[in-house]
Amino acid sequence: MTLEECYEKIGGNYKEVVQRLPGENFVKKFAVKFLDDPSFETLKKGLEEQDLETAFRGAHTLKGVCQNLSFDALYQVSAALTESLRAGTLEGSGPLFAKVEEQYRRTVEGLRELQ
Amino acid sequence: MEEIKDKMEHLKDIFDVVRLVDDRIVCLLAGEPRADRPQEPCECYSFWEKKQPCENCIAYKALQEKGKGSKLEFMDSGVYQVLADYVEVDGRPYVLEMLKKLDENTFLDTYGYEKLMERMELYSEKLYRDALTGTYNRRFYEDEVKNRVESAGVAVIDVDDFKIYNDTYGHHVGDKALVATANVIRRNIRKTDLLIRYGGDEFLLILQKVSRWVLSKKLHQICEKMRETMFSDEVRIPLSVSIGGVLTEKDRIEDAVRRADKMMYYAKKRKNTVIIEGDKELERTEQDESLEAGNIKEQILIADDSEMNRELLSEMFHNDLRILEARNGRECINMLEQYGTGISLVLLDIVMPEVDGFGVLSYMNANRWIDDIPVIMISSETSEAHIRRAYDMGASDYVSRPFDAKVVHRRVSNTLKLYAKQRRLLRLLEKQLYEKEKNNRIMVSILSQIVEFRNGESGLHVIHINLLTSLILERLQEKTDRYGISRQEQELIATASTLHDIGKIAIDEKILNKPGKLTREEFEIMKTHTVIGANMLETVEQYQNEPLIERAHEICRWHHERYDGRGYPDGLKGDEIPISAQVVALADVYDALVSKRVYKPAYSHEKAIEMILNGECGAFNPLLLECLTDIKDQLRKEMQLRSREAYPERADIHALTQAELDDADI
Repeated sequence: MTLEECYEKIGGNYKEVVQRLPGENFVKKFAVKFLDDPSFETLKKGLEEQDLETAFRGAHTLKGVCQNLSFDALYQVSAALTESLRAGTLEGSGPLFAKVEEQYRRTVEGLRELQ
Repeated sequence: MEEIKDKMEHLKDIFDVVRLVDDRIVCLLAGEPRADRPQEPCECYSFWEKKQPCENCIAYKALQEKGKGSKLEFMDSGVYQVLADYVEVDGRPYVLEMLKKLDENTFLDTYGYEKLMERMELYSEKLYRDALTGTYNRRFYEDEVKNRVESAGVAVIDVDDFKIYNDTYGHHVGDKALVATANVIRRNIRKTDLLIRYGGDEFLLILQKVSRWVLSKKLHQICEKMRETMFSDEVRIPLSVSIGGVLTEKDRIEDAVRRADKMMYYAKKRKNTVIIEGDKELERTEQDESLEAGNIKEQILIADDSEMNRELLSEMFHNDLRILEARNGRECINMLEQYGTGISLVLLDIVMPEVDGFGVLSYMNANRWIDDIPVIMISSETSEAHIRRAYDMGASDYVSRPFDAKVVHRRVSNTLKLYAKQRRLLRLLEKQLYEKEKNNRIMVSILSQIVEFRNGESGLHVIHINLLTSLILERLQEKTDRYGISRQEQELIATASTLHDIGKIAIDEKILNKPGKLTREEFEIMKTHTVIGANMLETVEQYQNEPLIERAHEICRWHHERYDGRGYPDGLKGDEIPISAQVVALADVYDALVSKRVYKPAYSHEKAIEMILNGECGAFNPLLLECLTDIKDQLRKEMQLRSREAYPERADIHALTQAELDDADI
């Protein structure tokens, strides 16, 4: 699978990212690295333990990383969750997290194929 | 030969050892190549349990001079007197050596013993003293100091522009500069500290057991006092020194000196500077130099809690820059503490565990790192509030995610260049300011020198007026804001004060230097120096609006006015007289009283103050009289110090109290 096809599959913006970052290889290297990024785990753990600060940080970092790599679909749902958590409550984060989790799974699947 | 052997037998009754040494052996021992050397040289020095020939071979000396010589040799705890006598035996040159052990019995009595010891001490004292400056000399350093292992502050002090003094004014002026330098240093150290004249214009200072703080304070004090020192009547350029210092712990002094010398080399680039090993400023200088020379890459710190983000940025910059990484705000602060300005720029995330990006910014503000280390925020926070807050806290730039790699790269390199340029310009500016200030001082000095030369006044008058004016103005400003004199204005008035008597250049020398009282007509002529001085300044048309000329004009014209309107030339009253002229008038009167003039003796400081306060020299602003009373102790001390610094060789100014000498100690 090419990088472009992978981006297509995970709802990312291929054209934008290769222009913004220095070249296809660079993007591919970091896209694969996303599989080791712990921010989703941090978010999940924070929510499970009702730790708002950790959950917010996890969501926030996840959002930032997706933004860097133009993982637009995952970015959008994690941004929504980040803003919800920023308000200082875990209330209403359940459905938002479900969306993030689903999109995260799809992204990871797509990136595994790239590997 | 028989004859001499006979003689030697007799001599053995008196001397412990008597021997005849062949001239060829003597020369060989003295290192002189001879074709006719004997096979087995007699190693006479081995007799003294030395492993090499003596430094002063007395036999060689006797041979050279065809005469007699004597020296003392030491072996174990004994002292031997060695007499060498040139003799010719069978037409060949020989040296007859006679040795006698000197023991307690040799010294006739205690007096003789003490006398000898005294002479010996004096001799070694002479050997280790620099004849010009009275400090220890390089030989003392080589023999006694360099191999010591000590914990001490070590400083190398070098006189700035020494070559100029020597080349322009002659060696006697150069010598005076060195003497003055040694005197200033001595006054600012303890008796237990060592001052060594290390090279031509280089001094070495060893302060035993000092903290870094004390070392720094002492060295800056010396540097500052140097600037206040006038050392010669001929040259009115203040001295300055460049000082390099290190703190050493149980190291060889020689190694510490080498390090201090390197620091001095950095200080020398700016002159009139103290640089101590480990100074932040120094790191900066060193680093900029290396950067300019292309030797090293600049180092940036990336602070972000996401490894992905750090790696991404790191990957973008690692070809051009060295990268440090911090995983949170706490680590970021630790690294800033560790590397200081060794970090050229920080890329800072906002949301991080432990301490966030704003926490880092507050820390950098509190420590003033923010002035020297630029920060570029990189964040996915895009709210106006965040961006504004970051800028308010001193961030140089704000990059939002998703960022364009090329743009970020350019912003970082621009910021780095800007800061490097700013530091270079700052150094250049400092240097130029220093040069300009120096030139100003030289010009004013020359001018006042001319006036004083003609007036036959002491060379110190202008320095005194300058000092007095500064002291009174400072106190006046502390006391009241009635005159609203800024520090800058104070300095301006002090500088202008040196021109107060320029009008005297137009007064007939017969009147100026008349030993007796002036006649009424003569006094009227004398009084015109005020108006003449003011007129002279008015002719400097293109600078009419310059504050310096304005102040100097006021001072020239009105420094003989009195507060009650009974002065001259205009009979101004009270605050009609500009405050500059009021202060200089008071300073002028004080200095005239304490100085010896052709028509009067010098009064004491106490007497002068008393006469002024009693109104014997005309009326002054009561506020200024209060100031004079407030500062009188300080004044007495400063005037003595100033005079001493200018003329250290004068006897009359050594009348220092013990308290003042103690003050010079730490």
